[in-house]
Amino acid sequence: MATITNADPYKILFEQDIKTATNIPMVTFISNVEEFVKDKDVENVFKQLQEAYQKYKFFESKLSNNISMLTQRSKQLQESLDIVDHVENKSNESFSVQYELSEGVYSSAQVNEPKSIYLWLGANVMLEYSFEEAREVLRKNKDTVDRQLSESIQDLGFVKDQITTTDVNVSRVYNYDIIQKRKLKLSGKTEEEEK
Amino acid sequence: MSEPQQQQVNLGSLSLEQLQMVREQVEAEIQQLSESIQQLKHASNKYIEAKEAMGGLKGTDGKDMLVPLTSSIYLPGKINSNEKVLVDIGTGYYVEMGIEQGQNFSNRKVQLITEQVNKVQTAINMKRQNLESIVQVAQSKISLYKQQQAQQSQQQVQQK
Repeated sequence: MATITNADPYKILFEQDIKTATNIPMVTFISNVEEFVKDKDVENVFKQLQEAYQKYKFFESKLSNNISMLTQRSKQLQESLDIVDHVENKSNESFSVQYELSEGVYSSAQVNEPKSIYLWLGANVMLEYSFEEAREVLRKNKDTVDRQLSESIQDLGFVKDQITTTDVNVSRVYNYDIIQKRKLKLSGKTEEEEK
Repeated sequence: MSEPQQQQVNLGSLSLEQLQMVREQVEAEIQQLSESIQQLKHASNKYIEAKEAMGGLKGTDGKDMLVPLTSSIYLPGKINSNEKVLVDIGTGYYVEMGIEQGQNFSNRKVQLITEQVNKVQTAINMKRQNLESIVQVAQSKISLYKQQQAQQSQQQVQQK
């Protein structure tokens, strides 16, 4: 799988042989438009391509939202890991902490030689962990999030490819249709001239 | 500072299209002012919550608590407030105050916001009255137009 750099997660080449994690279907490139359209109604072909385009666009926005959410989550988990490390370094001393009592109001608390840390897991569940256990839980969560992020970026690359292909298909079918209509007009004119 | 002069418009002199435009404009203004009220109420609730939180801190020195380091990480510790809180007064300034002072600060803010809400509410009521006037004028113009249409069709029938 392609590695993701911190600098720009989008600067990765999509590897064509990888099947996308969300099983998004691949659009086929219409190499021979005449062959493709010959026994079909052009309007219907347009409709189908437009539908496919809309679906891919929907996937794109969904994946973009997903990526920004996962990126944020990954940062939060990294911050949490840093905090666990920081608190563990101070586990043999007492220190004072300013915490947010309410929005815009802060109060002070005294922490005396902390030996454990509490993690809010969601769904009204909070658990007490040793520093090592907490680090393990957070790291596991971060690995999962990073993997999902990597897959989402991969999928987004794939979807963007499909959007481009669909766009090109639409243009090719449209151009073909115009050429056919011109030919029909010309043949109609020549018939009239012959008469 | 003097109040800005309200522009008087004779609604009767406006066409239906113009009335429609004015109506849309007034509706947009009402919508905007309603959103402002919602934001002000949200700010007011924030200060009320802060006041209650400060009240809850009274006489709790030395009690055990879970200190929030982030929204998901807590440490066991003891309250060490000395009946003092740090209050954000805006633009990156924080002031250490006693709990009473902090609550007074919140009360003043709530009062200020309530006054603003009342002013905006008055403006909304005025706009709503204007909107009703516009709708009434538009309806009377439409009914007049229908009457004229009916008269014209009657005249055409008589001529035939």
